[in-house]
Amino acid sequence: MTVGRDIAYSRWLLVITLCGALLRFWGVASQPLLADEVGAAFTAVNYMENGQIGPIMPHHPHLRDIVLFFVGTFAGYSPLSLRAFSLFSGILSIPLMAGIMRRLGSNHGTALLAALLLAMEQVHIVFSRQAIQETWTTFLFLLGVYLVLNYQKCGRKPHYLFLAGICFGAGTASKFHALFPLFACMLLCLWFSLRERVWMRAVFELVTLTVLPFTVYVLTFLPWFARGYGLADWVPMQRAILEMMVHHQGNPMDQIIDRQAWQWFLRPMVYGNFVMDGTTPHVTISWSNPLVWLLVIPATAFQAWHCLRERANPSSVVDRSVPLLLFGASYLPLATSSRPIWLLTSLAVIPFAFMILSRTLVEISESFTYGRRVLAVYLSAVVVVLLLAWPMAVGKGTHYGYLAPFVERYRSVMEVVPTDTGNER
Amino acid sequence: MYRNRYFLWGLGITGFFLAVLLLLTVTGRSGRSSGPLSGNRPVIVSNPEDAYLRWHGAGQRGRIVIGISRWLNFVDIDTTRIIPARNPKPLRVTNLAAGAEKQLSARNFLTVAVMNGIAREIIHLVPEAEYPDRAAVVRKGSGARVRDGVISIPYLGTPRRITTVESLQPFDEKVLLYVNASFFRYLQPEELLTLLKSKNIRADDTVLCLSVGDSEVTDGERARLRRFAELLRGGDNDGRT
Repeated sequence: MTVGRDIAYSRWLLVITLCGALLRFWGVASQPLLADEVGAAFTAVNYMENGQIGPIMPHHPHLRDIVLFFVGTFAGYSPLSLRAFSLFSGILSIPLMAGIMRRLGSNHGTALLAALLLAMEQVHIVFSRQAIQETWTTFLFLLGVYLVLNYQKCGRKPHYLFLAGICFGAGTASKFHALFPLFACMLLCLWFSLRERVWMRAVFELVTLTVLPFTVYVLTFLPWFARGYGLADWVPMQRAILEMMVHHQGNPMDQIIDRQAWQWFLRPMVYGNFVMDGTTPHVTISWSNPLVWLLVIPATAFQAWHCLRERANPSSVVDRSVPLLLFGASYLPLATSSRPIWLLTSLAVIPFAFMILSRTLVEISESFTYGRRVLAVYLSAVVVVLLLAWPMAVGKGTHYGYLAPFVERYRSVMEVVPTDTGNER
Repeated sequence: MYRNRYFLWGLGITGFFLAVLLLLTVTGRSGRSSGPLSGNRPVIVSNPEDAYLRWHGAGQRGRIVIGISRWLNFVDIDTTRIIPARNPKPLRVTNLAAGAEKQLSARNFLTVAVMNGIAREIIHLVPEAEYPDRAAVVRKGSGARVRDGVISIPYLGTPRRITTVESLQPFDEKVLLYVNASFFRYLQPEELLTLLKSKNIRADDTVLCLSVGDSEVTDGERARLRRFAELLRGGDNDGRT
């Protein structure tokens, strides 16, 4: 019976992953390269051949430069090859969501629902189709979380945590927000070890989740060191990068787009890209699906309330509170940031938000008669809304009459803003 | 047994960390290349960009460059002439440093030197009378720090300082030295030489620039630059400028 359920679960997960892959791959090779993607390719060559950072996104770390350089060198700088790593990591994040939920003691349905929500997420679809580091940062920290949970649940074998440290290091070397789930995972590991008074294990966990990610991060600066720098030069350079990141205001086009992270789960928000494809404007819009995003805060409250109610059962509380810890650690720094945070950075948070939401939806649906039917209707509505809005994610919004006014609203503003190089990003 | 296992893994990770630090240090040191140049014997050139061509030709890499001039010669290169603005088909990705070299001019020769890896750090020494104006301007930019008469304004990962000869802290490494005639608007050659000696600045290439095409540089300033060259040639040969 269990084997039969496992097979059915695997099949459904495969179907969801394939649907997610289809939404991400469709027409990706013919989608014109955006200014950020062209700039990222030049920046990659500049970094690897000259050791110099920039000109685009100089405040971000450099794994993207290394990956794009090698991809470009061996497979050419075509749209598909440049986007290959984003596509690959974006698609693999879907089953990874389910894997994490299973490790957190969720049933098959909850795990599949979490995977489905990510597969059908328009922001994730849009950035799986761009040659920048957004989806692979998400993939790397999700893989790190999965490995940490494996470590916790499978006899605390050190190699799981070692691999997690490498994933978090690579994630941080892609974008700094991978530090947030890393910090949450470190707290989780240390909490168990210190509670059980296993000091050597606690020291190992601390070293593996601090020194190892740092080592991976600093290793990505090898081309920069090759310019003749020493470790004494690296520290002020990092300070300058952090200062740049703290003061970053985006390129001119970003100024007209939603940029308040604290509003992500309170109202539908938008991020857009614009490029001229020959003489045709190409507008890509990622839009937060209100049917999903607006339920995140109530779901978080629901899960927090259950944590308090079930505190007599520590095992259940831990499984329930891990997504809350990851969500809080990832979202609060962004929501309280004084600088603009655009919707693309929500990929640092939404996997954890969807874990909370999927668990809540399944628990509520199981609590009353016809709950499953209501859940099925809800999920159908989520998929329909996604499919209706999906053309905007692949730059075809203007081809559909019902989307044209919405796309036009952003195109008309973005087109007048110079988009030559994205130099300031 | 378990405790030993954690200890060994922790030790291995620490060893890996130290090995990476060693690798980075060795890589950094091997990234510096200083071929035999003029030493403390100055070379007089007509235009600022001649200094770049000279260093580039001599295979200089990863050097500290000190520019003594009224001008910073650090105008950003025009990347829009290298990176295509509109969706190019197919995308041809070229090396920005090579593209920057094609835009080489008096206004940007130090920017090009940074982009091509000749300079790993730039120190601009501006006249003391003009420093406050510089500080007032760069304070408005993000990422710049002004402390103890030194403006630190990193450029895309490259340390860059703007200061005066008087405020410069002494340091040990030999540098590539560039002196522009415009600097002698405020100082006599003997005064500059005394200041440089007091800071123990040692150069293994000294380029003196007449800026012949620059209408803001007077013949008197150029004459003082030539006298400065004579002072250097007649100076002691202990390696100091």
